[in-house]
Amino acid sequence: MEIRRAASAELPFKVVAVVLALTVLVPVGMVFLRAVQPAGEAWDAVVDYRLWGYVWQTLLLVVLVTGIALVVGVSTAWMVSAYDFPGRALLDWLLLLPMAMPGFIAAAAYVDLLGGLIPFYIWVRQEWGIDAFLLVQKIVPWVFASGILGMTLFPYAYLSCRAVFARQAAGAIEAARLLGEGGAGVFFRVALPMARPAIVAGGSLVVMETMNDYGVVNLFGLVPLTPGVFRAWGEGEIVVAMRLALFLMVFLAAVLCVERWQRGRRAFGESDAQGRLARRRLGWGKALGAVGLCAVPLVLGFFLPVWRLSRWCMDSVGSSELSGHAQAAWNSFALAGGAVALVLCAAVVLVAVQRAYGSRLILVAQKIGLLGYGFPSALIAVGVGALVVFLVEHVPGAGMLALSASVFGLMLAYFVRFLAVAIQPLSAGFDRVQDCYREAARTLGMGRLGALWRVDLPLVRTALLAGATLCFVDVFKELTLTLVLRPFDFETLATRIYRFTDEGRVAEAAVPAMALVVLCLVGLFPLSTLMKRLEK
Amino acid sequence: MGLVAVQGSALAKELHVYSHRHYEADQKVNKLFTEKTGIEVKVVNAEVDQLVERLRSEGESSPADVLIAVDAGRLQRAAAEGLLQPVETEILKERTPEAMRSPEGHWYPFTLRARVIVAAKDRVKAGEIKGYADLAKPEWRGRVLSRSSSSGYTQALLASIVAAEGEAAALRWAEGLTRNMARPPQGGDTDQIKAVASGLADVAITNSYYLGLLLNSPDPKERKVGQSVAIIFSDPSGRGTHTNVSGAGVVKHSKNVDAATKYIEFLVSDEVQKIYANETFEHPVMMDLSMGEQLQEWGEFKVDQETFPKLGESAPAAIRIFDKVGWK
Repeated sequence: MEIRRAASAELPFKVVAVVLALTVLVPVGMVFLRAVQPAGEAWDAVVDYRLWGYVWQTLLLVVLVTGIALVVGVSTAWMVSAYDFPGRALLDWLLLLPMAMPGFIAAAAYVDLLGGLIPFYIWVRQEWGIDAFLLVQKIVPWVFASGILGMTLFPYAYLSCRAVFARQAAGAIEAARLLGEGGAGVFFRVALPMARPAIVAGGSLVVMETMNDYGVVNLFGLVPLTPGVFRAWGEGEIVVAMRLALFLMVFLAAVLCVERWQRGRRAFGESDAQGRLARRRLGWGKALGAVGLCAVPLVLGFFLPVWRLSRWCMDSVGSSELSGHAQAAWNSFALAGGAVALVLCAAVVLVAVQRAYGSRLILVAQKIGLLGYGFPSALIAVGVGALVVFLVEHVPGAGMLALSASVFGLMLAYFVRFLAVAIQPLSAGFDRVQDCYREAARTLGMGRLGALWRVDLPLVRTALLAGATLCFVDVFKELTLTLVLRPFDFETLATRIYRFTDEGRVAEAAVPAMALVVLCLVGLFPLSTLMKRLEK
Repeated sequence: MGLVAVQGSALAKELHVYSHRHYEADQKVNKLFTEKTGIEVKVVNAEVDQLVERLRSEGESSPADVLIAVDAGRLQRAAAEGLLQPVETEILKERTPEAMRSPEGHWYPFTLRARVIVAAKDRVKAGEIKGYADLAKPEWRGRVLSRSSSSGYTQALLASIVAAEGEAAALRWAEGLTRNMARPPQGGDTDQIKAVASGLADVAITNSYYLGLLLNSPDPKERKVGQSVAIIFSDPSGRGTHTNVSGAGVVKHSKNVDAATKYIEFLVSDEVQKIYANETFEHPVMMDLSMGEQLQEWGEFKVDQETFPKLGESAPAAIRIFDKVGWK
């Protein structure tokens, strides 16, 4: 009797969960459906003249950025984990700061330096001739774009390796030290191999962020796949855009497969040692080197952009753009608030209700919900965009809908992309809540939902708050989806900053850019604690 | 329904303009129109392609009365698609050149925008460059600048060459020019002029009014940039200089046709033409150079009217060519 009642109470949740899971799949489904339609000459032209460029630029960019991010992230993580030197504790925390610096904002702070290089180019032409002159100009934007992305994304690698070095690998590292292995030997022969799954995990996040970037590459004139998708979309070649988006999807799927495979290997060789690695003191010379190693990426990826932006802020005080900034900020708040409400409700159904009823179906839905974070932004954008176009064309009174439909589209896109951002902390939070509390409540006669509401949710409120904050900040700083899907004549802080930078009005972009960075800093607190916990 | 529409037009107190233009001079012009007529001008600013897309999706329920674009090709295509409605008045016919307006009256130009060549005074001899064709010659390797092919100005220039010389010749020209670029295209027209002044390249393609804005800037550094280059109007003995327009048309489903027409007539009035000639340094639509000192200084030039009506239909071929030659 009791069992049957539970089953019938569970049914609405199952339906909701299935709908949520399907929603996440809608954009991809839309793309698969449309991509097989004939694209005519436009696709042939793209294959003939653009596709190869998109592919090699994507590959080169990913290799460069991931390389930079891993070298910087792993080496700094090793320094602060294995050694002790003045300022170490502070640097340990500071090294997360570049996460609060969205790439397109850092790019805004650097983009004018590119113009300052003209005398250097002219010098190259005088010294080495015209071919060197042309070559240098091709290389420099790559240096800037990959450098900026690498210096703002390395904390992903830093965070994931930091925990391994400090805890999981501590025993093996201590043993190697006792056996007389030198610092470099311990690093290359013990620490690095043991951290490999963590390196791959951090690296795959870097790869994803790099492939989804639109702002940085566009500001420096590179054309990998994501801007290629949007170019085709802008030209009205919807099928072409979708096929290109599928290329991105294949890239990302390959990366995620590697990540899975490596994560599977993590079980090997991990000691359960709870002890922390004892840090060795460095002499003055080496300590200085260590501080330098950690400080350089920090300066390039955070402090230098912040310093330049804050100087421009001073210059633009009293500018007439302030009311525009305020309107854009309000739009950003409204969008982010709406998205958080949506995503959080969905996450509670998918995680909390799943716990309450132990439903396998909802668990499957939850896993599908996590997928959205792995979809390329460009693919979500064109999938949702095509859906909106479809609705506008097939719903009467389309005129007014055109506007509201695009807010709808934007929300849907955020939902798909960021649902995982709320599910993960929530499910990690539940993992730490012991079943006995809920069971005690049930024994005392509470219903499943009552126990969930009065016992479980209060216990995971920190996780809920973390999920909400992360999701809020992610939506607030989101550029790629917002640029494509935003309603007509509608700006968020992110799109406004991007537009000003693109128009060469960097000084005017500085105030909103600083505001955005400060907000992202707030988002760092739950992120750092969460990621450290996940690594445990 | 008809009655409501008539009433609406009689009482029109507001005019909705979808515009690609966003200079301060435009705001000034709109304010002036309100002062004179009591009709308030509400502007939605965006790129013309977005505006056209929006007109398409809004259909009959569109609030728009006037569409303003800065590219004849875009206006021609919007008209061909049925998004604009024909209007004809004596004033509009008298005050716009016949060769540069829609034959059916779907849209009318109100400023002219010459695509000129600027050359560093200290590195390029007078007469060394006579027209666009010279920019593709091998001796200019690594010395030429242009903005990207995604810009409507660049597309229209190549479209005019396609219209005049055919696709194959246009392809050869674009190939040569791409090979001659001093850097991959980046930035707007002003950036190209600045880069020539800095010594990065020797010549650049730009709309003339960007040079006018630099020459008359309050910033002495910008004035110096402007003074360091010479302006060259292409091909005076041949086809002439490719000249595009800012143009306005009445939207198909406008509910304020009278006010919209009055607005476009206002745009070609002497008063407004003078504002543009002296503030944005675009050329008056009837080429009356006496309206602005800067324009007088540059002097008369031959406008390429031959290719003008074909700019819209030649644009797709131009875009294909950019792809083929790798003009970013």
